[in-house]
Amino acid sequence: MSRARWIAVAAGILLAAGGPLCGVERFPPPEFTGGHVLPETTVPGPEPRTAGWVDVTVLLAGLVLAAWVSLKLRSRAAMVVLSLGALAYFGFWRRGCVCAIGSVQNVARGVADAEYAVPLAVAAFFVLPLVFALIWGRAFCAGVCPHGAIQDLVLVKPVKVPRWLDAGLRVVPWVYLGLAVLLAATGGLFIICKYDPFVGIFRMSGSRAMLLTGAGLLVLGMFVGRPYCRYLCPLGVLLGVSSRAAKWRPTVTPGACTQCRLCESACPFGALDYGSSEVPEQERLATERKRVLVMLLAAPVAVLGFGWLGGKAGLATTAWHPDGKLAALVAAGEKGELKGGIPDEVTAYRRQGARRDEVYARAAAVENRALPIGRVIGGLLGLVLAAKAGQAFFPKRSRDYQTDPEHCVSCTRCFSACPYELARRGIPIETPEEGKTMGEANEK
Amino acid sequence: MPENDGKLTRRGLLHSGMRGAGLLGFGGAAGFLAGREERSRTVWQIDPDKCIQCGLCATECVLEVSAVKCVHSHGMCGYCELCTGYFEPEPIALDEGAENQLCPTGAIERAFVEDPYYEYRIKEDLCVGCGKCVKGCNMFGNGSLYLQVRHDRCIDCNVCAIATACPSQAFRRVPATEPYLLRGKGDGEK
Amino acid sequence: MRVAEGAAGKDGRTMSEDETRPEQVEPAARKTPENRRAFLRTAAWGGGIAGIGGLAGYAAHRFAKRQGGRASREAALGEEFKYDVSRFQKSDPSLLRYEEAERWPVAEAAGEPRNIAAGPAGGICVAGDGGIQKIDPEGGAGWVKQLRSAVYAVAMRPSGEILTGHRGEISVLDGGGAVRDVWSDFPEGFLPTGMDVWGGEVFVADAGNRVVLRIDGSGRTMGVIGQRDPGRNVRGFVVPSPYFTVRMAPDGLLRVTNPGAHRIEAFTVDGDFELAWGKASFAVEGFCGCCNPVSFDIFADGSFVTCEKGLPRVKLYDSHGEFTGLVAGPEAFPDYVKAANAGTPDSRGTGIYAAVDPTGDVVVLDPMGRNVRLMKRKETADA
Repeated sequence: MSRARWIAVAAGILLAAGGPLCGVERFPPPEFTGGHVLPETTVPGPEPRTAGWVDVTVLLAGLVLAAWVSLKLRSRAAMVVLSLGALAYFGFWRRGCVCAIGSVQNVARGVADAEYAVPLAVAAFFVLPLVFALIWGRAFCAGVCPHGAIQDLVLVKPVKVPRWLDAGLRVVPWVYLGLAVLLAATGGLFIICKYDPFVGIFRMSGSRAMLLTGAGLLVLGMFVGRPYCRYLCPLGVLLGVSSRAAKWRPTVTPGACTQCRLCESACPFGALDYGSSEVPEQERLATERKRVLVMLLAAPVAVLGFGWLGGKAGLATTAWHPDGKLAALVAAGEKGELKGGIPDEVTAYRRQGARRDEVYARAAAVENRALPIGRVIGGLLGLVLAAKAGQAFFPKRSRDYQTDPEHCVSCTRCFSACPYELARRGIPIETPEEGKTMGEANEK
Repeated sequence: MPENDGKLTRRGLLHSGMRGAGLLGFGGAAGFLAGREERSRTVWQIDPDKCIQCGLCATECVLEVSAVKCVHSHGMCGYCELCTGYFEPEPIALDEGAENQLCPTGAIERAFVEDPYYEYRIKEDLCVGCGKCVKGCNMFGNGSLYLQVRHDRCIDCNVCAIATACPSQAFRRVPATEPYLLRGKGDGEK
Repeated sequence: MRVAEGAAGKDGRTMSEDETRPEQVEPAARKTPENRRAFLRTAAWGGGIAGIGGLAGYAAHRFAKRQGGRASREAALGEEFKYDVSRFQKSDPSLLRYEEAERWPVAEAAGEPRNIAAGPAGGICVAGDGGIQKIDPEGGAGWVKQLRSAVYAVAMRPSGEILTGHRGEISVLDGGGAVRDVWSDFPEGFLPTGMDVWGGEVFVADAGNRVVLRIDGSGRTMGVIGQRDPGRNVRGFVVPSPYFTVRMAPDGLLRVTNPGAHRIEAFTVDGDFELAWGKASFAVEGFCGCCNPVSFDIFADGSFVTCEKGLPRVKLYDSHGEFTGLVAGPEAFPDYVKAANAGTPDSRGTGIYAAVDPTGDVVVLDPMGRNVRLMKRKETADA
């Protein structure tokens, strides 16, 4: 133990021993004639946990390996092994906590609340996957995230999600992110942790609702690839945006793309971009201009509109904040609207001697903080939605068949559909029958 | 991606710019936040003086069996034959019959010490942390029974689900080296 | 180009037949697996959507229920987890023999109220953590005397002197509150929580050592009463919490509470145990909880007024220990009941204390409400 810790322990012991001497009254227990010894209250300490830095080291190693496997080694088998290892360690061994998805909330709270200290490990869990995504793509999603790993495990019969549905559903994680950041920043309510569908499975316990949701998502995941990752994960959208700027991202072909189209249905997640080679250059440029125009026109409207909406949402979140909840209950109690007895919160506040105006003042303070934060988050969300609208209506298509810069999770499944990849691997090529991909036709 | 050379330059520049900005932003945020880091590890604990035994400790914990259990500060206990934390109000008889016991899971053990003193111990494997005995002890007795988070069971969530639900905000973070907020400042003292 | 095996086999066509056909496989050959796939896809989608919808509905239902606060909580934990003594917190109004005539607040300077005494010459003295407060029922404000340590017991001599019991010592104050003498020749752990004056002697209930001390006028301990002695048929006092009271009764026997045994015991001044009465019960006739009564006083005719904690009740018993009525029931102490139901502890200072003044009225100290009430006998009450 460090010296400071020794001093603290010694001081604690002295204080504890000197407690009765300091006038802290305690009525003595009975005197036992038989010399009975009073049992001590046991104080089992928390398990000496694998220090945060061990988790961060494993995370870093996993990220490096995942990036290397997806970019250099280009092996699906290796990625599967890596993701299973991550599932075992981060999922079942560490029971899903601390996780990178949840770290968003800690960081949000840290930014908004000057007194909140984000633990170093949590900050690392936030930064590292994003930094890797910025440079090497979403290697985190394929090789390190236990949620992704468990969904990958159950994928048996991928079904293509229609474009319109996909575009619509991809808005959901942005809204979820906005809400989670808003709640974390204003009151320290961590809804991502509370409503995480898979952590109950990792811990082998949890509320019935969440366990059923997790199981349901896994059943869905048998047919719709990675439903949580694509349509719910709040970190996924941040990783996606970061991955757009990546210098090196997974490529379907190890070399050049000759648009042979053999990989067209190779991605179970709809994250393969292609198709502009059939479109004349003029039309492609026109589409791009229209997209930019739509985004520019929609952006101010969306920012203002969603900013206003965000402010309203911010005010609404005070009802979930403990101070806001208490103020609402106290007000209802005074109007005589409380049915079914006095709620515990009111009992507790009365017992603790807090005054009514203090309670109202605290709730007002929460509201005052939540309003600007909500507006900012709403505005940002509006900006994102404007961009998404532009993308949805005027999708960009690339000439080469390449992984989508935002949505590709680096799972390396598409590699085995490319004949050049197969050639690199030294595998004799079987051309597939209609409806099958190269990968399926050449499965060992 | 090697595409049209002209496009690459513009897009490449844009991407490099985004990348740089992103790295600066994330790295800066992490550094700034890490600078505020608390030095010691902290864990969750209940302040027994704020607790109102609402029962949420038993139901809100993410674990199937809550990590919150009742603990007994023997130094504060009166060792009464009629313990109001052990017996139902108006027991039929002052014995260990289940119909007389307050605890719904039978987690309190009653042992005769000497006339007229009895010792009461909590069997942690049976306790669910509902706080019924705590209520009985606080209302009529010395308040030697109270709820605490047991750290050999607690998995130390980022944000404790019980803490979020607690109506009296009795949960707070304490140093991991002193993870309990005990009443009576130790036992066995006279 | 080799056609993958399987399709030809399922169809029954031979390889040689296929080789002569164009590369396009006949529609008929594709029907079965293609349809099966389509069926599977539709079924999966339908099942998935239905499942998600069902889950969402169930989750919303559970979430809505959760918002109910107390209602949902009681649904989650069964009835057997509820601690409910509300049926004892109501009293039968026909049992009330006294009514409140006047009420005085306890001054802030007196601190947490700890005990009360009614002087033989009139006047009420309240003991608290900060000192003592003297109340004059005839009118005029009382005065507060702040003392250097908390007062747990108080008694008034006929001469007007006030005796205050502190941890480890007893102070003698004059009628104006000035400290005249301090007696400190007491054993370790001395904590007087009850005192009575009789003749020139003082009887002190020492909760710390669980005995009654007989002290002469100069502070010298003359005798110890109540020490456990099976030979003398003395069980010993069971005092689990600092509530222990002694009073001299008109019949010349000391009455002492034995809270752990839920009874009041009678001793001679020499320490011989004579008799006891009282039973443990939550019903109005008995003493509730684990250690009651916390305080009592005796009328001129030998009947008793007792106070309990947990269920705040001030009750009347005759000289034989038969219950005769209520001075005040739990309804008279709403703050106390609310705090007790809230479950936060305060094992010090949540007693209720009563004293009988020379005119036969009862003064009741309510520490949680910080007031002293003068209770007068009702006109219509039957004896």
